[in-house]
Amino acid sequence: MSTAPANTNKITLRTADNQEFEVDEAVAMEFGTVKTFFDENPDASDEPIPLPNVSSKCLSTIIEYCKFHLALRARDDSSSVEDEAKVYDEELIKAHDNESLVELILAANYLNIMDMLDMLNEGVAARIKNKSVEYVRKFFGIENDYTPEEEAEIRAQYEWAFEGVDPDED
Amino acid sequence: MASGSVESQSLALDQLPTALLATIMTKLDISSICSMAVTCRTFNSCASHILSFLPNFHILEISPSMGLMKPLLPPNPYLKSLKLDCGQLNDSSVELLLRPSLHELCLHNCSDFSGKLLSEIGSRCKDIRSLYLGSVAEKRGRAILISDLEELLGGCTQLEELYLMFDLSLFLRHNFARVWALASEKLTSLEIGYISSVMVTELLSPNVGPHLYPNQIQPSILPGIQKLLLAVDYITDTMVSTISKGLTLLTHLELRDAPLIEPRVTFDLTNSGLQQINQHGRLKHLSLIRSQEFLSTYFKRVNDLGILLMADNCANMESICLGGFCRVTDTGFKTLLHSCSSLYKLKVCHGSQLTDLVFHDIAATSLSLTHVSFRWCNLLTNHAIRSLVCNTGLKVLDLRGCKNLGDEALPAISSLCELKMLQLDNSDITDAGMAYLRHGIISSLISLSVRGCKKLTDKCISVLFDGSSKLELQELDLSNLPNLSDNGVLALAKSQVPISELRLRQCPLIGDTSVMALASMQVDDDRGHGSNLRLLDLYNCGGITQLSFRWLKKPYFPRLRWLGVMGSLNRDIVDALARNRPYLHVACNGEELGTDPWNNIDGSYMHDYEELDELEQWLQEGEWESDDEEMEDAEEAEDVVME
Repeated sequence: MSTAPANTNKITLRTADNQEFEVDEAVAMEFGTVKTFFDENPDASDEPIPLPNVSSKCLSTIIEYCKFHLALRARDDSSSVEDEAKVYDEELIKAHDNESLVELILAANYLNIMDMLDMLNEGVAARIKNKSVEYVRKFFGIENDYTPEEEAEIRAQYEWAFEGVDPDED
Repeated sequence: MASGSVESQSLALDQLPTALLATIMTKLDISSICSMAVTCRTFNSCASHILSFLPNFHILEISPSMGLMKPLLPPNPYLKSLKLDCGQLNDSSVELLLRPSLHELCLHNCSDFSGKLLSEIGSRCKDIRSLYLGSVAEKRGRAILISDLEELLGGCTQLEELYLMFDLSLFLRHNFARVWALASEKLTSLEIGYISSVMVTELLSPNVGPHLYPNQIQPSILPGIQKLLLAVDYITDTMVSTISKGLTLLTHLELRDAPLIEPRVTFDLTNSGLQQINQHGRLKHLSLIRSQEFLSTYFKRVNDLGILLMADNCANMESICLGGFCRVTDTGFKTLLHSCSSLYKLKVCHGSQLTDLVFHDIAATSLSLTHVSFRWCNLLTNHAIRSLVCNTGLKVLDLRGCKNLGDEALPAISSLCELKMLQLDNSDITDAGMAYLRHGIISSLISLSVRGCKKLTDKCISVLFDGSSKLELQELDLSNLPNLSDNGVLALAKSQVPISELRLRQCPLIGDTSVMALASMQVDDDRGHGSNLRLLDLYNCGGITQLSFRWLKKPYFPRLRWLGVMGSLNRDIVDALARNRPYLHVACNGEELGTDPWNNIDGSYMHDYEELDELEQWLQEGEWESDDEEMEDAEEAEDVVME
């Protein structure tokens, strides 16, 4: 790593909509992408790091998440830490609708933040678990690209698994 | 969802890389994965791909056929946990199911398999840690040999938990101990579906048996066992004391018996047996239950003295379940409450002498009970409940069969804000009483049963649910309510309570209108028809005719997995429904529905309320007014039997 002093170093990040965020180095290092960048460029200047695939809304949520969990980890390992983390994560998932969850996942994936990505994936999985085929299509915004014959065949194959909702109903 | 622009819609799938989608899908259960495969081609190929590295494969709600299973179980070196209902499978599925990577295997309903299943597990799944096998070889013509059991125990050297939920009593006794000596040393949990108490005693007694030479030292059998759950023919003093002596690490002991004839004194549990419990001081969970499955019989040779002797040894107990101890009075039960300061779970069934006095000074103890069950404890009144609720952390309260409880107990109950499960079967509550639940706990309850509370009418539904929002209730039992009519069920459907299990057994006024109402019940924004119901029990409902069956077909009740109906309806209609819904379990003979039939302690749940009345009368009239003959027998026999 660079020889810069550790704790008080600030790093600037620029989002897709040209907003700049200043964060502690410790927080920025939670982003795998950023960490790799610094590992490969130890003499990087203080120029803001561009994050063209992340919106400011997402980045602020992500920064809050990383700050919170960093602080939790700094405290000693008691079981209340685990519970608090769980509550925070659940609230975060609840607060976001389906579309913004997908956005967050894309951002966390791009920034390579493994814990957050895993947690978000769990949240999305919980939302689509046991839901109808139509619900899942709406959730991900997908078009049904089967031919009617193919669709009938695959529905018959997996008949036992999903709800018997007629696809043409609204 | 807000109507986003075209760009924001396409944000979704195109940009989510397949790897991410796959990761999300791996967190789903297998039926959701299959369901997603139907949405589009991308997901279909994701799903196929995932099947080759999915760690958990659980299908328990239906009995899949071999044809259904084969494409879902490709070679998968990451498969760790497999749980299946094997109702339609047999020995030919062994190769498909048994993988060397498995750590956890749980196979229910294996009646069409032979004992070969056990030996194959022993040779193919050597790494397994937890094994559950239900009903193996129960079909005629199938057999399990002792060599199968031998190969299972010898092959699975990493086994930690073993549940053999079938009859082991048919094995020859002299071989039995030798075979169990092969079991893995890591085995800590053992449950057996049925075994005779003599076999248990012989198995765990060192140096006993005709085949041993006088000085031969037998290695200890099952030394690491911490949890032991057995269903036997008779719980005897000898068996209890052998278990308590032999298993030094025992923390969890559950014994259940179902006598076919009245036990003789040498074949019964007496005060001496109770005194032997917990010799090594580690026991935390104890359950002793005499089931009424074949005969109305109780632990007549145990009285307060036995409980006092036991309580001396059991200060660290955390959960105690006693079923059929009809001679224990308040003294005994109170001693338990006052001796076991860590107790959080207390269940008493058929505590016919248990009265309010037990709870008189319960507030003085530092107990924080969370699971409490007093079934068929007829002498309990509302006073007891008012004292009991000082345990504000109560999560489960089961008061089935306590007929003297009424509306006055309900304000106290509704103060329990952590309560999740409440069962008030056969009590004296009325519609007015239900209002207390509405203002208290209805929003946090998950399961509510008012089966057989004959004074309840349609009004109780509106009292409970009108205007309530954000309910968490999932299970509701309104069976045996003679005054509940279609109007009540209509009110239930209108209230949009998100229940997934509804039981309306033996309600004479419930008819086709109710089925229609439930079929049209719209619950959440999930689109499409109605109810969340996975289980609907309409057994013996007076007004159900063929018309209902039109509403039970698809696309109504899309999630229904369990249905109970009257078998005497035209057989063709029922068969037609079964064809329309091949994955629906239909029960026509009045059996209780659900995936956990072993939850009924004594099977008396199956009887009508009327039948139970007679039984209670008989109990109260005859039993302990006579001389305590059995008690005297037991005391005499002590000198002879105990060695």
